[in-house]
Amino acid sequence: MTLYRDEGVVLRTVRLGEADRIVTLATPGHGKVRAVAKGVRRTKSRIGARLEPLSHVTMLCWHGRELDVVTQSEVLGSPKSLRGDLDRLVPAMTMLEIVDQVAVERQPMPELFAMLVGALRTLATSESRLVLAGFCWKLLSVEGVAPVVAACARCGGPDPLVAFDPGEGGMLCRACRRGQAVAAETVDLVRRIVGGDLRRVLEEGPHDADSEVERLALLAVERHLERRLRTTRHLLEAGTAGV
Amino acid sequence: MTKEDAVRLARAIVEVKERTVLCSVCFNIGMGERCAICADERRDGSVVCVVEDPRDIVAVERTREFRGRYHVLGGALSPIDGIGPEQIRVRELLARLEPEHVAEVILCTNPNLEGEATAMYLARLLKPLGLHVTRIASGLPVGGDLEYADELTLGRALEGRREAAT
Repeated sequence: MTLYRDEGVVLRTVRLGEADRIVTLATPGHGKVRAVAKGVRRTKSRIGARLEPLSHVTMLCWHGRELDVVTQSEVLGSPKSLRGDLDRLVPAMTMLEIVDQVAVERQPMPELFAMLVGALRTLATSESRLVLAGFCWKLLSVEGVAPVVAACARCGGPDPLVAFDPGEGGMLCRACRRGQAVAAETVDLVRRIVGGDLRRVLEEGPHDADSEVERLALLAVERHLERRLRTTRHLLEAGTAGV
Repeated sequence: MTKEDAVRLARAIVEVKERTVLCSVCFNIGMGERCAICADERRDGSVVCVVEDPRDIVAVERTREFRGRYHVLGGALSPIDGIGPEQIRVRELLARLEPEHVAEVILCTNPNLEGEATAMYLARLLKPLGLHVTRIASGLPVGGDLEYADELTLGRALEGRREAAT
């Protein structure tokens, strides 16, 4: 067994035995890591609080055959505003779920990791509703399936683009339209996000098309993952006003 | 283990399986339709302590500080694992509030991300109903040394500090 040190963001935890947990982390150098954290469910555990989902930590781990073992961890960031606000917590948990799906064990992913840390940090401070959407569109680009937004994804025709179909891979013109009808502002916002103008989009404050941009982003991610996102289905769509 | 001990243990397990049921009111483990706590008329029915698991009731009861009643959710929200509001007993909690004249709900879920998310979700649901909704405090274990506390727990303890007693 070898010892290694890496940064990580805790994606999820599962109870193991009497007082242990299996912690799944996204790390830049070792990809997705699943590691046993011993005794962390006891109130006297010093590292239990550090290994909660959303925590950004440095850790020392033993390489195991199937599961690694966390021996030490220090917190680099654990934004209080994410944990204490349901409206920020739901998008944050959605990001964790998406990364959990796309990350591969033992395969370095510095770009995806930096994106996740940046997005969580932005989510903790930004008032914009587009942080999750921005993360999703950027993630699709990193994954090599960036949406086609410059011209019609089917015929290559010019504006106006009036629909979005994740199966076709992007926006569609009037002649090719299928899938979801979209407003002109939505097309413009997605273009700017994908084109590298995300920071300014987030600073601008609310847009009329924010919720549509978010909905399309989640739709495109679900298409890429080939599964429904559980976090959004349970907490966003069910709404928090009633069950 | 002697043969007699093994038989006694086996009988005890069978007895547990045969005689224990979930309370129809709070979903605690009990011996009849209503558990001992729900059947106790001396308990204050206007305060309900919401916990994730029947074992949490045992932990709270050990404090001897709480004289109200309980509601067991049977888990905490964990969307990533497919546990949403429909999978825990939120609907049953809402149904209890009016008939039992509940005035205060104490959210006593675990101080981890799932527990906090569940508490926030319930608070958002219950506060508009005009109820007094409280969350248990979190901080340092009694008898421990400050220097050994982790920074997150200590941070919470500082955040939730109160006026010193004189």
